Formats: sequence, C-alpha cells, structure tokens
Amino acid sequence: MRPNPNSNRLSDKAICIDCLNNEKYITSVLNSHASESASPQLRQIYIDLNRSCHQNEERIFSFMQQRGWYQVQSADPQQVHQTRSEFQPVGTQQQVPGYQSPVGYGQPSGIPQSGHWRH
Amino acid sequence: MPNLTQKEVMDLSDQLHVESTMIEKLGTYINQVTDPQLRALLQDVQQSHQRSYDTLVNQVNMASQATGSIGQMAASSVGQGQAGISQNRGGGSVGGGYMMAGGNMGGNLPGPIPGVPGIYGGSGISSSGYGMGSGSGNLSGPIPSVPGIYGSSGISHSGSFGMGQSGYGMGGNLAGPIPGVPGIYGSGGQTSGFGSGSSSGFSGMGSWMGSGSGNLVGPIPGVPGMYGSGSPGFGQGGVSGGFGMGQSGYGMGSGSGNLAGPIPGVPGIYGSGGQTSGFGFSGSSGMSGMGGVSPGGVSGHLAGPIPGVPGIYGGGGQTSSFNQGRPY
Repeated sequence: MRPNPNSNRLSDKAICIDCLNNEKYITSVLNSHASESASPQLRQIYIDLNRSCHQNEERIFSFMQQRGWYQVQSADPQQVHQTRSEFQPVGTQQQVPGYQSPVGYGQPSGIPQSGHWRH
Repeated sequence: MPNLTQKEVMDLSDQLHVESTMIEKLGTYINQVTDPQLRALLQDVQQSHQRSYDTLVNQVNMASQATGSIGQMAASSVGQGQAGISQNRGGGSVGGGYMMAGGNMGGNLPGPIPGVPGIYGGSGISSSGYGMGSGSGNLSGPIPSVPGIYGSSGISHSGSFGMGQSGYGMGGNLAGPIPGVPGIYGSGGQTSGFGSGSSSGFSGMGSWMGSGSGNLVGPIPGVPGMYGSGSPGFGQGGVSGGFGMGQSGYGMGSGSGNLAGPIPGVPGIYGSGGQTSGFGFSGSSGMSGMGGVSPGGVSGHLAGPIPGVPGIYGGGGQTSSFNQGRPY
C-alpha cells in the first residue's frame, strides 16, 4: 500500500475500494430483498435496482483495473481443462437409471477460487 | 400496490437507509477525490443511488396511500454532504410528525470465520431518523489467516429532531488486526450525524456527536497494511433553532484515525487520514441563545513512530470546528 501524499484524506484508491465493497454489499442485500418479497412488483423493483448496482460495480471495477488497482489472475489452463473434463459427461439434465457418476463427480477438485476476492 | 407485508416494509426501510447513506457518502467522496474521471464516475454512481432511493420512496408512498394510515415519506432526504432524514409527515395520524426509524446496530459482525476470506463488516450501515444510529460496521476482529477488508465501510449516521433528541454514531471500529493477516483495517470508518432541535414556544436542543471512527488498537508485528488510515469523522452540526428559552446546539467529532502506535517491523500508513470536523450552531428568538459549541479534536493522533518502522505517521490528522451563537 503506497502512502498517499495528501494523507489527510482517503486516497482515490481507498475510495474506490470502499465504493466497490459497498456496491457488492448492496447487491447482495437487494438480492435477498428480492427473494423475500411477496409482491411481484416489489420483487421486480429490487431486481432492477440490483442490476443498476451491478453496473455501478462494473464501472468501478473497470476504473480500478485501468489504474492497476485491482489485479486479477488468469486461471491456470490445467485447472480449466480439469474442470472441463470433470463435467463433460453430462449430456442431459436428468440422470438415467443406473447412471454412474464419474469419479470425483459431486466432489470436484481444482475448482478455481471465486473471482470475487483477489487481493 | 397492495398492502405490504411486515418484512417488506422492514426491507424497504432498511434499503432506504442504505441508499441515503450511500448518497451522502458518495457526496463526501466526490469532494475528496483528486482524479476528475473518478469524480465523474462517483457522481454517476451517486445519481444511480438517488434514483434507487426515489423509486423506493415511491413504493412506500404508494403503500401508505393504499393503507390510508401512514403519512408521506419525504423524498428530500439526501443532498450532497447532508445526512438523510426519514420524515413522515403525519398524514392520517394525529400529531404524527415523525417517523421513528431506529436502524441501530447494522452490519455488526462478531467476527470473521477462520478460512473464510472476504469482506467483513464492509458495509455496515446504520441510520435512523430519530434517536440513535450506532454501532455500524463494528467488528470484533479479524481471524488469523483470513485476509480481507475489515470494518472498511462502517457508516453510522443519525438525525434527530424535535425536543432534546440527540443522535450519535460510531462506525468502523475494529479491535485490531491479527498477526499474519494482511489487509486494510478500519480504513473507511466514517461517522456522520446530526441532530437538530426545533420547537415553538419552548426550547429545542439538538446535539450531535460523531466519534470513534476508524479507531484501531494497533497493528501487529508482521502485518503490513493500512491502519486506521482513512477514517473521517464528521458531522454537519448540532442545530438548534426555535422560539423561547435558549437553545443550544453542539457538535463534536472526535477520535478518528487514532492508533495506539505502530509496531517495529510493520511498515505502513498509520493514522494518516484521520479527519475530524464538526460544527455547532445555535440560534434562538425571544430569549437568549447559548451558543453552539463544537469541539472537533483528537484526529490523527498517534502515540509515536517506532525506530526502524518507515511510514507516514499521523500525517493528515485534521481538525476543524466551527461554532456560532446568535443571542437574540
């Protein structure tokens, strides 16, 4: 973390981090509100607000990326390949009688970490 | 809109507080950022939250019209740099001038869980239109091997009005980082609040206190990071106005960005952005006005740097205060 020369206030980067965290938090709250709304109209409103929040999130994230403040790491191709091979056999949505899950199915290994947190 | 369920009303109220706080917070940030592109972005985001707020207020108004029992919630709660007020002007109720929305203790979390990286207490927001909004974003402490941002967005604000109400807020406190847990601790603890009192024929007293944001006991050896760096504590004012007997308002913003002291071998930024501002205002007609008192102090203090610990210590502690008294 580099010191902010104008250190009597938050740095632009710290502000971005905070704003991004807030947007993430609000999207999760809105999602919960939508799920728990009995009124279809209110549910739709929360979904719309959630979308707007995600757009804010995306813009802040993009800005941070442009500034080099939010680095993401590409997935390991080997892990991608492994995940692909584990889930390839699923041809239909329903299991047929006698269907045998491939080894490891249901207990996947090597799943990349969620992209949410890469600090 | 048909009658809302109890849960829906609570969710609407919670979300309105969240949106109003975001608008307020973004207004503060817009004035702080140095990058014009970021400023424009934050203005867009702020407008987005303003639209969300207005949409939700409309829902409440529609529901209240359907029930005929609740007054209208004012949509004018938020402006740049102003704290939100949820105000219910007594539509169908006798003397119902206020909406009591106590949203205390929002976003509290006893502690993160070992092995669970994430954001803890990141957006704790607590606000209330009456009384106290307190204890948002508090977090007892991070857990070893849990990197993350702790207590980063603790926001608490409250507004009170009427006779003798006071509001105070405290946000973003954090007991302390843990060895082996790099991160940002208490970085965005922000407290704002205001209280206003007004009355006719008698006294109104408003008081405001915003304190203890972004405090941090101290960094831990081997834990680089930013500690208590960006915690503004500010308040727009104890405001008191009315007729009669001597009103007083005071505002106190204190204790932001304090840090017990850096630890040898822990480079970082310590207490650098503690900012405190506050003002009090008092006015009265007909009798005496006592004058506002607004101590704004103790920002960015730091016990002292430690030999061998490079960094910025208490660099930006800023205190400003304003008070004004207007005897009639």
